[in-house]
Amino acid sequence: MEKLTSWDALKNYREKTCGQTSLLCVGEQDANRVVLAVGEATCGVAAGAKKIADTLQEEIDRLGLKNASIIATGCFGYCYAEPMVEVRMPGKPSVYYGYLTEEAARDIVVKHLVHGQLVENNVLPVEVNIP
Amino acid sequence: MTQETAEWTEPAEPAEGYPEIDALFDSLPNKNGALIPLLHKAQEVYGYLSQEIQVYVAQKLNIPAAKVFGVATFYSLFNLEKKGQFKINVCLGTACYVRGAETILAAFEKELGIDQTETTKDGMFTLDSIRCVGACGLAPVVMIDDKVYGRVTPGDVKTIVDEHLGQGGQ
Amino acid sequence: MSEKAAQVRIALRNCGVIDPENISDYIATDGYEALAKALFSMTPDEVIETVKKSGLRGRGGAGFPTGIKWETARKSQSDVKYVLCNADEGDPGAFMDRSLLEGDPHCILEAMALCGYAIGAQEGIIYVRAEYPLAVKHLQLAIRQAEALGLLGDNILGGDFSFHLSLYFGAGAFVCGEETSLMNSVQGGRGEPRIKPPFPAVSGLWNAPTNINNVETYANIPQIIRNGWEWFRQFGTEKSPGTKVFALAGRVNNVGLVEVPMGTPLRTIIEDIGGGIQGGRRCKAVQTGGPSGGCIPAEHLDTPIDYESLAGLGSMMGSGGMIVMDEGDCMVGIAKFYLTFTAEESCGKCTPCRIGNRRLLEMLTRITEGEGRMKDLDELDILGNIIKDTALCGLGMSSPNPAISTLRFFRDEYEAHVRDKRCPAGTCKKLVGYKILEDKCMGCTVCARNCPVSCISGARKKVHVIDQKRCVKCGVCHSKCPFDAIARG
Repeated sequence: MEKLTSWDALKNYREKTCGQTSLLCVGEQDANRVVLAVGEATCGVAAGAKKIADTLQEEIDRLGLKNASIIATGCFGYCYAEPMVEVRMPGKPSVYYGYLTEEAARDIVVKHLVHGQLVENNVLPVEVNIP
Repeated sequence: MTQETAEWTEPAEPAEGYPEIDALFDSLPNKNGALIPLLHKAQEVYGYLSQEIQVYVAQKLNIPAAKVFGVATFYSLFNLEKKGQFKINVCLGTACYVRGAETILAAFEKELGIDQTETTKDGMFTLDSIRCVGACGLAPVVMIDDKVYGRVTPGDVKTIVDEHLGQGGQ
Repeated sequence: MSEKAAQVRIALRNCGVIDPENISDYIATDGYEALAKALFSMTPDEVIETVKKSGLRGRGGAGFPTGIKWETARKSQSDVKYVLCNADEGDPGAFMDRSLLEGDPHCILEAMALCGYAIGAQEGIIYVRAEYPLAVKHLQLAIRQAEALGLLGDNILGGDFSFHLSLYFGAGAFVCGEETSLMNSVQGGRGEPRIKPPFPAVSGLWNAPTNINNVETYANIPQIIRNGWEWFRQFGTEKSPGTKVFALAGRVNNVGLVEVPMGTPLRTIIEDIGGGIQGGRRCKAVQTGGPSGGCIPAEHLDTPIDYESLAGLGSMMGSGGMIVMDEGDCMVGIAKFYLTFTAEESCGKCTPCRIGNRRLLEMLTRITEGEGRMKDLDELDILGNIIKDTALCGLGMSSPNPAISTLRFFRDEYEAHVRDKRCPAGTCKKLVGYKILEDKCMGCTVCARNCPVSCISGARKKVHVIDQKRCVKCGVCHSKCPFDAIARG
């Protein structure tokens, strides 16, 4: 990596790398990206998050969903509902799923990612204001 | 925290050397304050802090062995005795305590046939308690080496022990 | 995300949102923008002025104004100064620091660099618990990535300011959360506190001026610098601006990390965010502040939370552990639990803490075993207050709080233990016993199979018997019996 040597360089870096992050940026390059963010902090991992991430990946590969990627985030604070995953789609509010089992993980890929339907039983009501 | 029962006896001649300790010592830019990092390293490599190692570290840092012993006994993560291959730590933090961690500890004691702080005869398991691993949302939790098990019930204990027996002896 | 949400996330804003192993994720959420802004458009004094005006107070527990600490460190003349981060989260029941370090490590690095710029330090050390392997891994990775991009190290962002960061691993000592103990530990010694003054900002690590803040305090800094102090002050109360992260645990339905504006009533946290008490039972008390705090009874749930109101109730903010308890939790037992902890973790340097806490623990143990005397109750209070007044450091000065506060609010429960030899919550093992009712037992074997010490015997479809000698009184049989055939008394 090249060192950033000015404030502007930092701003340029921010714009340039946005498409490589787990966050969806506004703009055409991300129009079809889907990101599944699995909470893999200590608590998530202890609740079985790695297995859920593997299951999601297997299902994505099986269905050949090229636009979907999985990333590991930290703790979202909803420990009671671990393991959990956040589904990010461009232009839509995030959907949070909790209490995941391998079956629910497969359902999320098939129903939500492919058909755009919610997996109702696992939806978490998330009310958090990030100012 | 302080291991008041630990006694000091004259150690055997220090071994020929501890290359990992030497390597870390040489790599530290600042030798001040190197004692705790060296003890961490020694424990990581050799499993516990024998009296030989403590004397070696003291000579390395040119400080009295008593100071090394004082530090080694002050911190609960440092062991002065050899531990089992798997270190089972039952969390007794508040959240786990409120959710029945003492019952989990009793179940491990029964399953392994040892009391808290003891090691099984075959050298496989050391059972101890720990103060909060920070996974309170999954209370009660058990930590085995670096792995955290959440929402443990007394019924899970045998499964967890058996799982490790299967991996043992490497 | 709802506008009227009870949770407002400033410190936790990136936790669970970004990929902590990817610096681009942090930068994408305006990461390192505050550092750049400070380096290229603000003087160190302006940075300190902003932190001072924001009213940010130490989130580690005591609530000392952060800006004043920074200003003192800046005014101390020295070629070498240090920035320390206290990540030795030892309060059993609190895990916000772990979450922050695991989920948003760059935020702490950026804040420490900002502090270094403000006070004139070029070296920072994060003192982190060795029990948090994932946090350590993420911090190490974050430091490497930031150095590779020139956001840490020499000549940050091409400017004149240089700042180097390293990690130092704790080795399991609660007292190292006290700042002078922590510094002794970094110097390679036993983690024992010393008398203040001199304060660390004047003479700290290796006798150099040192600023030390806790993880959550630092996590607020980049947002304050980037958005300004006026922005920060719109949250929270006049005396305690901003938000506070709590680790909600215990008998509540939705355990987890919550971040709310200061001044939010306890009830909102427990009922709205926490989803109420498990099994629809009643909240009895809330323990805040861990071993340094106290138990707040249910009738005070409408108290708005800030540093002063919690102290007024004999508790304290502490690092933000919040354990909710219901009718099944014995308040004397909880006090004993915490005193066991502090008596064990006392470093032994000062007499009030070393010996006083031991005596408190002995009294509490006697009471929970039915051997208590009425005069123990008065002596608990007197001795507790003597320890608070005379102990050397924060650990000793706050360690009697769990006993004093439960005695203040739940005296009837203490009296029941002493006078009637009875534990109303049914958890003090010496005061309870379990017995199988012959007329109700169906011989289903559920109790025998669930008993962790296998002390229940009996053939299938025959009345079972508990071996009282081996019974550990855990109550599992009582809760598992499908026929209510196990009596507690």
